[in-house]
Parts: sequence; structure tokens; C-alpha cells
Amino acid sequence: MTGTALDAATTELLAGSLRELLASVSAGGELGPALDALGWAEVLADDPATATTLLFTEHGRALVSSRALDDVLLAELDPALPPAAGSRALLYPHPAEGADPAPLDGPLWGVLLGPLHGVDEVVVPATAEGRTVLVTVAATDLAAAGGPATGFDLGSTWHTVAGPRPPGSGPPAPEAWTRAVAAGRRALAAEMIGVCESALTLATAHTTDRVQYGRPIASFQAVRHRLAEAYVAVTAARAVLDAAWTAAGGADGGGWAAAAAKLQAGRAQAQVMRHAVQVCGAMGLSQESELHRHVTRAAALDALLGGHMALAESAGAALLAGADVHPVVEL
Amino acid sequence: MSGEMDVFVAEVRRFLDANVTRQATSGTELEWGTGPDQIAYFSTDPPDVDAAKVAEARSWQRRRHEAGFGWITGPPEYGGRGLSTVHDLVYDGIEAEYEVPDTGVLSVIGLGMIGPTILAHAQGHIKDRYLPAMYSGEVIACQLFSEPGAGSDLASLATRAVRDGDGWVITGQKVWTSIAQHAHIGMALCRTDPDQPKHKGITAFLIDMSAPGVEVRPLRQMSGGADFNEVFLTDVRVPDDHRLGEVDDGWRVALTTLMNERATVGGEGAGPAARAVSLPFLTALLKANGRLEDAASRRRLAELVADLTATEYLNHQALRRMQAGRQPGPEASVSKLMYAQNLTRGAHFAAEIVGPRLIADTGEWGAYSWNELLLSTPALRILGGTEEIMKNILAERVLGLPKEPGIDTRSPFRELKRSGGTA
Repeated sequence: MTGTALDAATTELLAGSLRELLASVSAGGELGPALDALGWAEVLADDPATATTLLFTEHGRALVSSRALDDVLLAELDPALPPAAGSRALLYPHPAEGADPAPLDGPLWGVLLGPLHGVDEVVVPATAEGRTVLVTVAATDLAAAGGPATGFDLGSTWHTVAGPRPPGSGPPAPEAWTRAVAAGRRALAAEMIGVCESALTLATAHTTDRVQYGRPIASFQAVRHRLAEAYVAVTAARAVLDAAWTAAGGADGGGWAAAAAKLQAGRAQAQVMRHAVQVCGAMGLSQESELHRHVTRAAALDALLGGHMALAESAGAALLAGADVHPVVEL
Repeated sequence: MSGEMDVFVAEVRRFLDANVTRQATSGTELEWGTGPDQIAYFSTDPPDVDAAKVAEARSWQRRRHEAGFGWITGPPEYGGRGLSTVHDLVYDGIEAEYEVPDTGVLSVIGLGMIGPTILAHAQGHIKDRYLPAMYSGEVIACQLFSEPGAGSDLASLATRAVRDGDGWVITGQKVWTSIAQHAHIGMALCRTDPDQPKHKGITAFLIDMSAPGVEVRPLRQMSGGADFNEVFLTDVRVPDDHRLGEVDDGWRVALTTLMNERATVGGEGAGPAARAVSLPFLTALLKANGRLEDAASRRRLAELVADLTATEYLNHQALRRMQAGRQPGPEASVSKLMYAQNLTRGAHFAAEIVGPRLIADTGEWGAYSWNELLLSTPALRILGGTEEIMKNILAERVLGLPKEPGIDTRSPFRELKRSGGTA
């Protein structure tokens, strides 16, 4: 941590402001100006761990879809890039490829987190000769290849990009990409935790209100134990995320710990959503309930930059190859 | 670190260097196939070996105490050092680098749970009498709580304590009592007023385990050892000054012990089981069994390490809170659940790797020995509050879910329906 750590009271105050801010943002809208008005840059500089976790947890809780994550990754990529000609967005590797950018000699394939209104250029990571290069493409050159990623997560503003790659190359920046992926995974873990917390709140309220056999169904152990397990899963995910931030200053940006944080959050969302859907019964199955929005959002976030099954395997392989598991707990 | 802490660290190292030897390998290195082939959570040693180990533990605790490290956070008037939880953690961290006897028989229950309870609830001269003796390894304490008819529903306990002159006479049966066979004193919860609701008529006492009428009988566990016991109490006389807290207020006293229990169980880090369910040991296990390239094993290893990281970090946060003077709260239930889950998953992971060698001893190091852990982990999901009770605590006290109806906390104890006989 570089600056002054945020205390609990300030954090709570900021969480309240963020909730208001996120409630007022339209789908795919820009968070940037509102965050600037809040003085977010200063908060972030003071205590990046608390600030990032807070912003993305609230982002998840509010089920907002925005390009806020771009700022997290671009902050790591910018030093390796030529000066920006206007505002930038990032093309993420397609979820099917985990965190591995598509080959430079093949077509474009990836996702944007929102439409490119007001964006001047897009940073397109690609793989050339086994290394990540960062190609900068004019937003207008990309527009034709992109379209809304409709279907699964109905509230999402994501765009799938698939089509011929515009000519051009860029600097090799494998280290910057590794750090960016680590930073992105920490933010995504926080966002999944937020979605989980919100789903748990819904399930808690539903099972407390819903009466069967003359009593609230949350008083049945079969129901309340599922929710307790969900709570344990979220708590564990938050612990691994907090631990991952203690490793963020490492040479590779705390890569292994960040992967573990996203792995744990991904496992948590799978468990929380399974339990939440079950205890909400038939009411949770219909789109009249808000629950489906949590289920699809959490699954989509899990898939970005490596889903939990794939991450478990790569993190396990890294462990067996002697990955530096940063001593996460320091006195 | 501050200068004061540097001085403390130097003092700790001087003491350890002068008395014990440093471990050949550090915690992160491991030589597969060397050292004792034992992965037990509970002792499975024969009684004579067990007794020798207890003697070693007491002797090591005495030396710690003489050097000022027997009770680092305790008040000086009772033989403590009066230092912070951080000093305690620093000491534990450094001591882990050395070959020292396992002092779990003293520390887990006596020093971890009953000591703090005595400190909070006993009269001054009783604290003088027992606390220095406990923290210097002279006195071992056990916890006489559970009964045949009072397990999860501890408040339904039926062991009676009846006033008799200036003391009390206690009669009843306790069960699943760890280390009672080694203990000098026991903290007993007794029914003093059966006409009050069950939580109200309980009183806590310290019992001399060598007093007439105390009989300890071992219970053999599925893992092979006999670490816990039945304790029969027949007309055991206890002086009134051995009462902890007020008459009929024993439930509050018990809660002090139980909260420390969950924190102690969830926060355990040392011992052969924790050493086995760790990244270096499990990596070595996969290597020795030619499973490094197995994708399913790699996946489970990563998940397990992530879970261990979570538990380690939660314990770290809990210690920080205790350091800030706050009592362990419902969050201790999360640590306890996760600790048991980690060791259980670790044991199952290893069981799948070693296959049939788990049940048929081929003489191979690090194979058959896993059966001890596999057969011990079910106990971890029961002791110190069953998983079902932990989940109820989280459901009600953290998530705020409605209570289960039909649990009678108002009727007099003597009118309740109970297992194991009537009051």
C-alpha cells in the first residue's frame, strides 16, 4: 500500500456514495465522470486495495455493466504503450481462451465490456511468437467486427468482436499483460463477491418471508444450512482476495495469488448461486425474480480472464512447478 | 518492527538456541520419506509412549515458563508476561523453526480455553492457585461439558451439584472428554436448579480429578487411539471457592470457554495433520506417486491451497481482532468449519492418491499412514460444536434468519424431554 489506508468509517461512507452513483448509471454508461466527481483517483492512490475491492464489490452488487474494469487493466498496460490518442478501451481475450490473447496472425476474437461510444482507440492484446504484444487499433476500425453479446446475461453490455484483424503491430509487453491480468482478476473477484452478497441478501429475505408449514422456510435446517454454507464460501473468497492484495506488489503483480482469488470467488459464485436458486424455489426460477440476473452475471464474470475450472488447473500446475506462493500473512 | 520487538525476538532466539535444536528443514522444504511416518490428528500411541510425551510436554512448558514465555499474554500477577497477542504470535512463529515437544495436551484445552475462563470468572486466590501452575506445565486441565444426554444441546446437561455445608456434592456422567486421563483438574458444568429453564440453572466448577468419586474410562476412537474418555462423577465434593462465576450463572461462564474453543480449534496450525495437509507435503505426495501430470489432482491441489489460504487469512484477521481487545464472535464458526473442511478434503485427496495402500500397509512411507487422518477428520466436524450447530449460529447470528420454532428455552429443565434418562 502506498498511501494512507482507508479506515472503516470512511470506507462505509464511500460505499454509500458508490451505491448512489451506481444506481444512477445507465446500462453501458460511463462511470468515469461520476467517479471523478467523487475524487476517486485520490482514494485509489491512497489505498488501492480497499478502493478497488470496494468499487468492484458495489459494481457487482448493483449488477451494473460498465467498462470500469478497463481502467484497472489499462493502468498496468499504459506504461508499455505509446501515448494515448484520446480515450482507450480494451479488447479482452474471448472467455473461451481464458487470459490468452488470440494469435496476431489470426482474426480478431475477444470481448469488449461495452459499446465504443466516445472511445478513440482500443488496445488489442495479441500473441506473437509466444509473447503478448499490445496492438492499438482505432475504435472505428473495430466497430464493424463487434456486436452485442446477447443471450446469456441479459443485463450485460458486453460486445463480442470477431472478424478480420486490422493491420498493425505493437510493442511486446508480456510482463505488463501478466500484471494487468492479475489486477483484472482481483477486481473480478471483488465483483463476483458483490454479486454473491446481493444474491445471498435476496435469498435471505425470501426464505425469511416465505411461510410453509406455518413457519418461515429459513427456520428449516435444510434451508438455513445452505445459506450458511453460501456465507462461508463468500467469506473464504473475500479472505483469499484480501490475501492476494498483500502479494500485489510482487514482481509479477502477485499473479498466483490473484489467480487464487479469482478461483476462490469463481467457486463461491457457483456454490452461492446453486444454493440461492434452490432455496428460492419456483419463485427464483422466473424472470420476475431478480435472482436470474445474479446467476447469469456471476457466471459471465467467472468466465472472463479464466473460469474457475480452468484457473484451478493452471494454478495447480503452477504450484507443482514451484510457483511463488507469496507468504500471504504477515504480522 | 519496533526496537522493543527486536529485543523480544533476540530474547526468544537466545532461549531457543540454548535449549533446543533448529529443525533441519524449514517449513517450505520437505524431504519425502524422512522423519516419523505419522499423520495422526489424535494420538494413537500406546499408553506408555503417550505418558512419556505428556511428560516431555510438561517439561518443555516449564522451561518456557521459567524463561518468561509460558503465558506471553497473561497478567504478570498470575505468572504471565503481560505482552500482546503479536508477541505471542511472534514467539510461536520462531518456535516453529525448532524441534520442540508438542504441547497440545496442555495448550489446546487448558491454556487455550480453561485458563482464560478461570481468569475471567474465578476468585482471586483460585487464580493464584491454578493459573501459574497451569501455565508452568504442572497442572493439566480438561473440559467436563458434554454428557450422554447433552451433546449439541449442551444446556440440557443433567450432572447435579447440590449444596452441602460450605461446599457442593456433584454426581453425574460426562463423556467425549479429551485428555481426561492426563488431567489434574476439570472444568465441570453442573445443574444446580432444575426448576429453572435449562440455560438458567447451571453452575460451573473446577474439580480435582484425583478427588474420591472421579472415575475416568477411556473411549477408543475409530482412528485407533483412546484420546477421549467417559468421566463418572459420584458424590464428588467440591469446595464453594472452586465455583466459577455466580451460582446458576454457569452458562455465561461456559460461553467464555466455548468461544475460545472455536477460536482455538479453527486457529490450529501445528501438528502432523496440518503439516501433511500443506502445499509442500501434498506436492511431495503427488510426485512420489507419479501424479504430477494428472489434471484432476492439480485442480484439487489448487482448490485446497486456496482454501488453506482463506483459513490462514481468516485466522490472521481473528487474531488482529483479539489483539484489539475484541472477543471472538460468530466469525470463529467460519474458521472452525473451514479448518475441518480443509483437513477432511486433504485426507480424501490423499486417500485417492494412495488408493488401496490406505487400508493395506505395504510398508511404504507416506501411504498407509494417511488412514489415521482419514479416520480422524470426522471428529473435527463434531468436536467443539458440530457443523450443524456452527451453521445454525451463522444462520441466526450473522445472516439474521429466524430461529427454529419448537426449541423450548422457557420451560423448567425438569419438564424437558431428554435422551439418556431424566433429570
